[in-house]
Amino acid sequence: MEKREIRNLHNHPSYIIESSWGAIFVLVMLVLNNGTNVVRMLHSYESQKNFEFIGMLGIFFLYSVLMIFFSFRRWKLTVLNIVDGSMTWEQNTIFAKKQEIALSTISNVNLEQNLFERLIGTYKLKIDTSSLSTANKTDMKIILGKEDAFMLQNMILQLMRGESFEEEANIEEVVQGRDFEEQGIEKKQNLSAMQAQSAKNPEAMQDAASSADIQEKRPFQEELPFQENMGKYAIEISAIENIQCALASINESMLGIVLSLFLIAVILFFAMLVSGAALGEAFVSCAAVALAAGGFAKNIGKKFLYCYNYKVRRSGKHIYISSGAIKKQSYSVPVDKIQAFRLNKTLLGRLMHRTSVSVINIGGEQDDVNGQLLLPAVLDRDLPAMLAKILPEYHITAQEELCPRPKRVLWRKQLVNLFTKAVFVILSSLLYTKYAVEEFQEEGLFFAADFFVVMIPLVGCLWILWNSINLFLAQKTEGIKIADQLLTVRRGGFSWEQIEIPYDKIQQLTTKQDLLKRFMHTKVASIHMLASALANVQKIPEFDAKQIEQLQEKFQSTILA
Amino acid sequence: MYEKRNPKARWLLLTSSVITMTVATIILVIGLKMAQPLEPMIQKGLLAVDLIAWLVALIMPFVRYNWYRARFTEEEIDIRQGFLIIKEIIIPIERLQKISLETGPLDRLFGMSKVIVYTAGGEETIRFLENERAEQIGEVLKNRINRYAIRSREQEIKKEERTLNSREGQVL
Repeated sequence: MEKREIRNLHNHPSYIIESSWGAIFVLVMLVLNNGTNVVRMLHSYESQKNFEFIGMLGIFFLYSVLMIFFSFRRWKLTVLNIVDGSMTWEQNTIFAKKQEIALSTISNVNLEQNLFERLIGTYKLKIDTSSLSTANKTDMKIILGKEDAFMLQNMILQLMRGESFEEEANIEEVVQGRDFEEQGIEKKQNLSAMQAQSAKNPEAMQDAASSADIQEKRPFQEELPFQENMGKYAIEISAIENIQCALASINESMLGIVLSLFLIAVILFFAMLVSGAALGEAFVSCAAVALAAGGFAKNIGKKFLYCYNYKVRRSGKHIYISSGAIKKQSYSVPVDKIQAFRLNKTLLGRLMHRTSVSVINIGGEQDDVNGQLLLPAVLDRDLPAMLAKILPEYHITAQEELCPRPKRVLWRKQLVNLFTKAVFVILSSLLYTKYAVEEFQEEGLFFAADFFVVMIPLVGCLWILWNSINLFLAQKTEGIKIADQLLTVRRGGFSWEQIEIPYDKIQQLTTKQDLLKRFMHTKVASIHMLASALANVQKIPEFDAKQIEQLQEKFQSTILA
Repeated sequence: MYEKRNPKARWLLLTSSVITMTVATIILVIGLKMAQPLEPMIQKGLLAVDLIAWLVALIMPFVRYNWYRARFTEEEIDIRQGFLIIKEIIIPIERLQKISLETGPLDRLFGMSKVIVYTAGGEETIRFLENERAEQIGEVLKNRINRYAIRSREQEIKKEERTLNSREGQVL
């Protein structure tokens, strides 16, 4: 029987119990623990206090009943329809919701059973698309009986592939999966044929047995895992080179924090000695701060260990990376899944002429959630040749090719920087002078009291100066290029990163313009991509409004009609 | 051409603002009564803030309504919104994964709905639509998504066939 649509399919009635089990549990507990007491109290017309107790119980009882009622209502008013290649999930409760999912955009159709569902004999059918908002949860789920669940799963899978659905009479065939059985039969036939051939050709017998063995073990892979198929690596980073890469990857914030903490440790040590504290006490305080600095500095060692024995090679449509000292990792990056290409240069990297390369794709964990590292901070002069070996599809856009940011943006940012930070520093000094100085003086710490009176404005001025230089460098660094096939954006100050995004990888483009930017004819933008949570939104810094509008037009022109 | 906004949306936003501010004011008043005796200056300050919030809440719905635009073409959805900060969003229809039509209790009172479109890069809400118009837009977008997805699948199949043919050619 050919069936291409489903109308008004409800959840299994056990959904009511499953979704309100908490309320049912509370209700049962209330009745079991207090039922006879309540009846006795009501019967004997006891004092006011018991009426309050009965009132509380009544509220819990009413709440539980309401929850069960809402679950029932949700069950009654929630339906699934599959019509004309599209799935509609309707929930007509207080907050009515209707989800339309085109079958061809569905990525996963899974069946699941929790303990309760196993006891009852129902299944939860879960459907997922590639939408980011539901990356950590299911787009749609429905609880069905066994037959309906497997039938619906089979139907959706076949409709997804554009095939016509034929309802299976024998549920067991559906449960075991007719395709899987057919594959099994096919495998056995192939194996018999190979064995027959190998009997005629003894030399091929060994190869046939090993290939059959491989087929048996890994029937769904087209090629061997790369660990077993290691060709020569195109790029290998030596240990000494790796140390330099690790140093060049330290960003200025980390460097600033570490140096500041060490400086504070030294100052604290001498300040305590001058104030009359014991040598041991001063040393312990200093060591505590120094340890905190060490905690930040450990990232340098971590980077070194991560990139130890770093090797990269390209084979077909994959890039294979192997590295690690204590924890060895081996990755393969499919080239066609790369969403964007990124270059990173820190402040130390600028001084050491080193740049790291990463790509933005989906997935990754811990260190990779913000993009997969392709090359650690290698020398600038070697970078183009290295990149040509592993990723010739992308080329590095030179800074001269980028359109710079308008100068008026720099002046505005400098004024805002000066004003806001000056206000903050002045307020901090005033507050310190009013509240903290007296306390220090009362405790006899005169040196500390005077020391901070000088240090707060001094550190504040250094902070303003540092940001001012950063803004100036950002003006020199930032740029945008709107080419035919891809967008290149460079952003940053002391450290910069350059990101190259093909237009067909952009999911949506958002531009923003506040009052001040409207006055200055500038805009900012952000690009949403298919990537992990940290990397899926890429910001474009403030540029001339005409450039951002040009980007919008270019993006719109690449959208298929 | 940008979609015509439904005038009822202004009253929906106003009602929502009034309800929110009423609840906030009640909480503030209860908080002031329950708190330790506060300095009169602080009490007056909090009440002044509440008054300003009321003023903003009564004006903003009209501003939001006037500064909201949505446009649907064959290829894309274009949303423009905001007064102090103008935000413009472009979403190609071929990137859409899912559509959701949502109606809250207040929306139902005014016969309004909103359409939420989901891509692999995020989601966006199209507001101030009448129920029928929201259904219509949902239907049109759904059909276009299906069309794009089928076309993309056909292109992939053709590409695979070409690759297989070239491999067979090499083997022969």
